[in-house]
Amino acid sequence: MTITYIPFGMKSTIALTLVVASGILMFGLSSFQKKPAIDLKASMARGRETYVTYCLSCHMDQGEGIEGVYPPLAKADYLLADKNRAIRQVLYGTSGEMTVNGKKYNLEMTGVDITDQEVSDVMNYILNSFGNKGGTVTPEQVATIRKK
Amino acid sequence: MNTNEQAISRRSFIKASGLTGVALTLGFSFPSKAGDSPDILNAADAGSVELNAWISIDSAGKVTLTNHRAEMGQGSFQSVPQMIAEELEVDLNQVSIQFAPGNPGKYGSQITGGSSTIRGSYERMLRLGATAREMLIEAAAKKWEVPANQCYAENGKVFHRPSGRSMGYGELVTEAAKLPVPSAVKLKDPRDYKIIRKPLPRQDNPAKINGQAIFGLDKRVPGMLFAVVERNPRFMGKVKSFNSDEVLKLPGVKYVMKVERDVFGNLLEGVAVIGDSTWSALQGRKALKVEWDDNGFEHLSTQQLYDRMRTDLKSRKFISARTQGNFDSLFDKAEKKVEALYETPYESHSNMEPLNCIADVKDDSCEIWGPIQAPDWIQGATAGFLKLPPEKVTVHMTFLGGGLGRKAFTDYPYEAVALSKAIKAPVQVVWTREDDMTMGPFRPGMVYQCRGAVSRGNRIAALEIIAAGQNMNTQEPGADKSAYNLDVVDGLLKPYFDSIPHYRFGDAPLEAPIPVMWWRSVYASTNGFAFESFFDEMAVAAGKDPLDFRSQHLGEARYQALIAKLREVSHWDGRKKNEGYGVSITECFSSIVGEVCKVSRNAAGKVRIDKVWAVMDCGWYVNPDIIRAQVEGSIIMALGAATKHATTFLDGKAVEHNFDTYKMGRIGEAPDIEVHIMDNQERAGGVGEPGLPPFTAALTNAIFDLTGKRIRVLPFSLDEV
Amino acid sequence: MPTYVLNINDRTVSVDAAADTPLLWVLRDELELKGTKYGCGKSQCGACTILMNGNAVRSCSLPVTAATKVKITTIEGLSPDGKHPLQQAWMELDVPQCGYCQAGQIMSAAALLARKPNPSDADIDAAMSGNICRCGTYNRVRLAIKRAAEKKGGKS
Repeated sequence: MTITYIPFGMKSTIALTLVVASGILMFGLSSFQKKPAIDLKASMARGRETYVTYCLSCHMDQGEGIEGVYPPLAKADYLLADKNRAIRQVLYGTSGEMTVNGKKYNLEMTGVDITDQEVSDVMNYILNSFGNKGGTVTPEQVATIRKK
Repeated sequence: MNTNEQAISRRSFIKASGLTGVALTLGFSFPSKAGDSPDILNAADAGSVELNAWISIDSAGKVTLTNHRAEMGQGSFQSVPQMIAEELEVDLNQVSIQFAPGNPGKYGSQITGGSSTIRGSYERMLRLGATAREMLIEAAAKKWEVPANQCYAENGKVFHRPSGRSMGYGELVTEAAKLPVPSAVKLKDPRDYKIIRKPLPRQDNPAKINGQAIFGLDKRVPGMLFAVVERNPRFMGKVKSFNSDEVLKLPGVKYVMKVERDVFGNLLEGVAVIGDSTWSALQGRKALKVEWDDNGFEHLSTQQLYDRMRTDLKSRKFISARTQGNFDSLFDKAEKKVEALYETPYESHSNMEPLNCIADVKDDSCEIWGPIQAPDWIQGATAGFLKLPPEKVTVHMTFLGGGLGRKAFTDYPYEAVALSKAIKAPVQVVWTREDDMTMGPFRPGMVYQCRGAVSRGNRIAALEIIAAGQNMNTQEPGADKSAYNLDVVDGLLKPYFDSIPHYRFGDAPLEAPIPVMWWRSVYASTNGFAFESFFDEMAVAAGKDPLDFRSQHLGEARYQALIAKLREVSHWDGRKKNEGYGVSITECFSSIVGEVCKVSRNAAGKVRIDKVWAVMDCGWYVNPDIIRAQVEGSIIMALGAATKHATTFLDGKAVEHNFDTYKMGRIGEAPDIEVHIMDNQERAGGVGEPGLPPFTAALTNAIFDLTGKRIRVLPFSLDEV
Repeated sequence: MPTYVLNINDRTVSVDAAADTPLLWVLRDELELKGTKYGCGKSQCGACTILMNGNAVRSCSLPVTAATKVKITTIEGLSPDGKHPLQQAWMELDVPQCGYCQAGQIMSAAALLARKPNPSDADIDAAMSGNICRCGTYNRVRLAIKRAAEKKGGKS
């Protein structure tokens, strides 16, 4: 199967058409930036497991978070605005005040000790679940950020 | 099976056990002279001696056994009763097991450390079980008016062989309790064991899988309060001031006060927030602001600590601990020389149950509850602190959510006692994960300078290993720092002392204001890596197979048998290309463990551990499944310390605060492990620790075999090899 | 202090607690459900794992306010008699050593088996990697999950 990709870093303003063809999720998008193909559906399925293990406790089953305590991931402007920042936060955690969908949050999030593959999988799950249409992340992108 | 927490006098023992009044109760009278064997006493004859009630059998046939040691995962809760029940001829499912409170006069040494529970007590436990059995047989023989040698015991009953009659132990206890204790009893032939040597399920596990097991943190005492303590992150610093008024305004906060704890004779300071719940105390602490006085000692970093250790080694500033022959002259003129420096990090114990302790100090007595490895030491330390006679201090044991050496220390009960004394109420001091991880005492970081010469016959002609690092044994103020530290040879196989003609072992003690102490397998945990890596380097220099090289230095049959077993189970001689094999063998706590690690590169080119084979020779043993579990766990703990975590210091403070930075091995990283146990006639050795020291070198030797890369500094990342 | 009504182990209970109190401390200090353990306070170790609507959740990070209107299950409520297939498998393979992390391990495994009755090794790694065991019982945890799946006749 072939999947074309949302170019890394593009904003959600780009119109996406979700095509379901013979059980395979495909993103129809004019790709000007060819990336190595990954199986998004499989990545998301693995990512769901990582999400359940490491993220669900705070961000909840449907990414809704806990208002005033843990920010949502579902349709979250903060998350979708900067994917690289989100990857860094998964790797190394974050603290300090942040505003998500107009509400302030200020609790420490710890990073998790998982592989580049697992980070990309969980990012793909988060970016493409809960009503998000946020693109994809490859393990290579995670590795680049980890090295910085 | 049920568990109670204490066993005091015979009467309260019987009450606590739910035993009926009439019982056969046997215990020990410990001699005042060390080394003498304790006498077995019958409660009826005990007179003024306070009996420790190791075995009690009541008239309903209920059997209650005591475990005098802490249960921290190593299985003493199972293995101590398993030994007694074997000779007593009762089914383990019919007995209750109780923890003994801290009382060295009654129970002998109770410090659960040095893998000593079985090896230090098994002969006495077997004798006790056999004594009770013989008294019950004697009682039955009297009742039936038959010769005792026509009777035998089995499954809680005495049988008369010719007539087939039988009586349960419960029916015999009244008679048996009146009998004198026989001075000599015959122990069973190990070939006849029904309980010992069997992989019986652990008696503590039902409670541990349904949430009912009471660990220290789960203990509740009426009226107790909860304390958390902000301790000086620089260990030796003092409290200058703190904002108690603001903190006291918070809901649930009852007290804010300075508190000390005794760490190797130094009173380290902190500020306690005491509340009516754990959370209120924790919230109070968040609002607490403490100003510290951190003058008068160095604020060291990891870099400085290791620089100093390397400098000391370079300038040959060390104390010889054990020498033979003339290393210097042999090494100077040797043709084949090998030199290497190995470094191991500081480590936190990071037991899953953080430190905690409840103390209830009254005017003339004190009770303590907690996850405690050394109830007898805590009894003594508390009695000294409160100026009470030891018998007025009762130390109750709970299950320990891990111990690893840390919970043998007396500082955390000290703090609880100090706070309870101040507020005149029972208080549980709860250490947060961050407290537990940053306050130490830590396993000391070490640097090993190793030099060796290989003879023309490709044997070790001369060996020198100097260990630099903080000395765990000389931290008390006024300790003799010029004394040599023989612990620097821990882990070395004994035959090397004969087969290496010229050697020198020494230590270069580092002075630093960081508390350090035992961490599972103590000095052997790091020595093993240096010794067995360096032997591997010498085997390479000698052009010998690493297992053959070791074999030729370890002539004794016991060691040769272990090597043969290791060779067989690991298919050492059949190893293939693209597979790295490494071997390592160490000896500590009277047990010898050899491990072979097999590594390869996975599809992504990363080094992965395919398999670990371990052969444990602990001599006489009790429960093979507990031994396997201990070795599996030791290997996984060693793997974590080798490849995942380390404690580092910056500006005098520990850097790693929680598991996000002090990274633990997770389930996906656990290698396949196969454990074999040697069967022989040797005396019992330790089980809880000896599986740990050999692993790291087995791994790094395997990596060398696969990649040619020698790893000399821990921790390292498997992904980056 | 506000009062919260919680559904824990199929019982309705009400507790008074500060709104920011993590469910962990409500369970342990208010409700005497001490099988759920404190290990790190930061969702890093899994010792405090409970089920919230069937998902494994770290109760140390879950404020009591978020625990209302959901179904909470702790180790004490996993089965009426301690005979959940996981608990049986845990017994048969003698998984626990010190035992402190094991309630959390079992609760994570229970959530896994509920959504994947026949988990692969990779599924087990992913679901169980949030649970640290310092005694190193991981290999037995893995075997016990597989044994329990067999007992349940696991078919997805």
